[in-house]
Amino acid sequence: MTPTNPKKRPDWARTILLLIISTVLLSPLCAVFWLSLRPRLGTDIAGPTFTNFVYIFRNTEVLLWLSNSLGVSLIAAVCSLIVAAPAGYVLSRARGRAVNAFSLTIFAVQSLPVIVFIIPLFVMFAQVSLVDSLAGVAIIYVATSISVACWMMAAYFDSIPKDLEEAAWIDGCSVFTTFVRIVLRNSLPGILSVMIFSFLLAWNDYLIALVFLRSDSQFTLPIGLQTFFQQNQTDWGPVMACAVIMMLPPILVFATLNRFFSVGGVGGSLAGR
Amino acid sequence: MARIELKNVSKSYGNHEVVWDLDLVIPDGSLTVFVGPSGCGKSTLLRMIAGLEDISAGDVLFDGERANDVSPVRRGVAMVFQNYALYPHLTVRDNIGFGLKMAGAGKDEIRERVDEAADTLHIEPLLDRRPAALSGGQRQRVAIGRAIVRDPTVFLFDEPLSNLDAELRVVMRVEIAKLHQQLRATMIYVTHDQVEAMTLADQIVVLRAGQIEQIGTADELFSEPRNLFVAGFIGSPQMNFLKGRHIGGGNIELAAGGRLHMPGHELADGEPVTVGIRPEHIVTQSETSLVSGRVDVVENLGGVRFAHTTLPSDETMVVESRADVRPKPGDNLSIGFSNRHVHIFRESGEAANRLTESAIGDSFRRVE
Repeated sequence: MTPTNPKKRPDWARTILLLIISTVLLSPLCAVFWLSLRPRLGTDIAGPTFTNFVYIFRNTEVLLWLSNSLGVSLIAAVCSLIVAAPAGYVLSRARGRAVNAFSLTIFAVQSLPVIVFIIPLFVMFAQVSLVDSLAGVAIIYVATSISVACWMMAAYFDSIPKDLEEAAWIDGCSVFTTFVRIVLRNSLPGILSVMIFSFLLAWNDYLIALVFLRSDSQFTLPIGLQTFFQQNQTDWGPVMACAVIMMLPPILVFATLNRFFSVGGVGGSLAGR
Repeated sequence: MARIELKNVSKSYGNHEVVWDLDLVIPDGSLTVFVGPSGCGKSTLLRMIAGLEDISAGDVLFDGERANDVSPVRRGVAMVFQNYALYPHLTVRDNIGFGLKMAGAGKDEIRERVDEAADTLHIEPLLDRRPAALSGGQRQRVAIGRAIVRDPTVFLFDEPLSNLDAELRVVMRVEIAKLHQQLRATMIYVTHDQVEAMTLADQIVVLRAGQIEQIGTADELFSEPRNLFVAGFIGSPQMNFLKGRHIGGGNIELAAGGRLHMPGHELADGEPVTVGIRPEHIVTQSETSLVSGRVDVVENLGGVRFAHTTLPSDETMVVESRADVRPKPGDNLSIGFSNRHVHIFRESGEAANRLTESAIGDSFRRVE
């Protein structure tokens, strides 16, 4: 706890600055919400209305795209966790040349932009029928998020005291049971961070989906959204409604899981913590 | 219970040797304390016995059987960590019972044995709490409970009291001593606190820089330190050391002035020596004075005062005085001591060998 100042005055300068920053950041979002609730062109309803939403659910494949997006993003989140948790554990705990080489490799891979890989990947994927398939893009999403995910997990595991694992070994756990029963069990904030990171990476992706997905039925939301733009005229109401739908899952995720990020995982295990 | 034997044990990290060619026997049922300054290798040694640290060379034997490659759980050790290392996601009951659960014990048996351990340590009301809801002392008890519930052959304590406040440390120290009397199991206890070592141990192992300086009971280490390091490490406040020279015939001339007659030591004429004398063995009456010292600071501990004095040779000396003598800063103290309590160390730091017991007199020397 920080000591409170008895003569506490509101810090006006800071409040105003924060207000300005918030306004700048939030105004496009507000515009999206506002425009999505505006009546469609050529109707005579006044005030906020859900007609744009009704329109896109009735006349477009938005539900299918939503489920496609959710599907690949969840697969990306779960798969990168499955890989990153044990890999991050090794990065955090093991020492030796192989580990150094491994960490250097994933760092090097991470530093290359995805766009460098797209053409070779497309050629490779075309040969194994992974173009225009959600499985194909999911594989790419997992691959692109894994290196950062490994580092995130490793950083979290670094915060878990080694004494806990040693206590478990003395209590008769193997390395694997220690990892599962003690380390992972106490890494919920790290696990959630990695899953959210991978989820959002896939959820927000446009480039990879644009290149690899071809047919309507395979589209994810960002690509689906693009079909609303017509050559001569764009009806902004449905575009904004679709954008709102796209924003909702990340907002929901952060709103519900927010508290896990502020709570440390290993409180109480050690002296003075 | 187990007798543990270390044979030529070494541990190195790369080129850095932490423990070097060490031999040690820990008798069955004894409480052995490893004591030494930070970085002396005492924790590493404990961890090698636990099986948490690989042994670079040599053997660890449990009851005569080589255990180098045996897992901690099969060695039958239980360990109390410096930081307690309680599982934060488990209740106290589950923390204590975790080892039994891993060993495949039944639910009823676990419940029964956890209750028994909780009863021994007076932590029954805490069983359903999580570690985060416990105080430092309570966590320490839970950590000990986790060790005793498994009925191990060897208990290992890695500086278990260093995170407690002074008062609680004394209480827990007594409890650990009681626990040892009750369980009669082999216990190894690591600490940097020589008071803990002196009060708990059947056998103290003093370590420095990965090597054993001396092994013995508290009394042996206190009254017959084998070298300057042990002499300085054991006892509080520290033993005073004065520079001197053996001028022949058992006579030692102190740099601070004064001459000691200490026959019976194996010393060459003209050999430089260090004379050690504990603060509690110093007498401050004028008729026994050997050197004089100016009092700089007095620490008053109630029943006893420690006067920090400076001698003419600029050496410092701590003098203990009991109720009747009350030195003040600026006073000149007449300092004398009985030959019986004097330790002589050679230039190498080793204690000078005594020739015969009877040759040692018990006389007070005056300032020459």
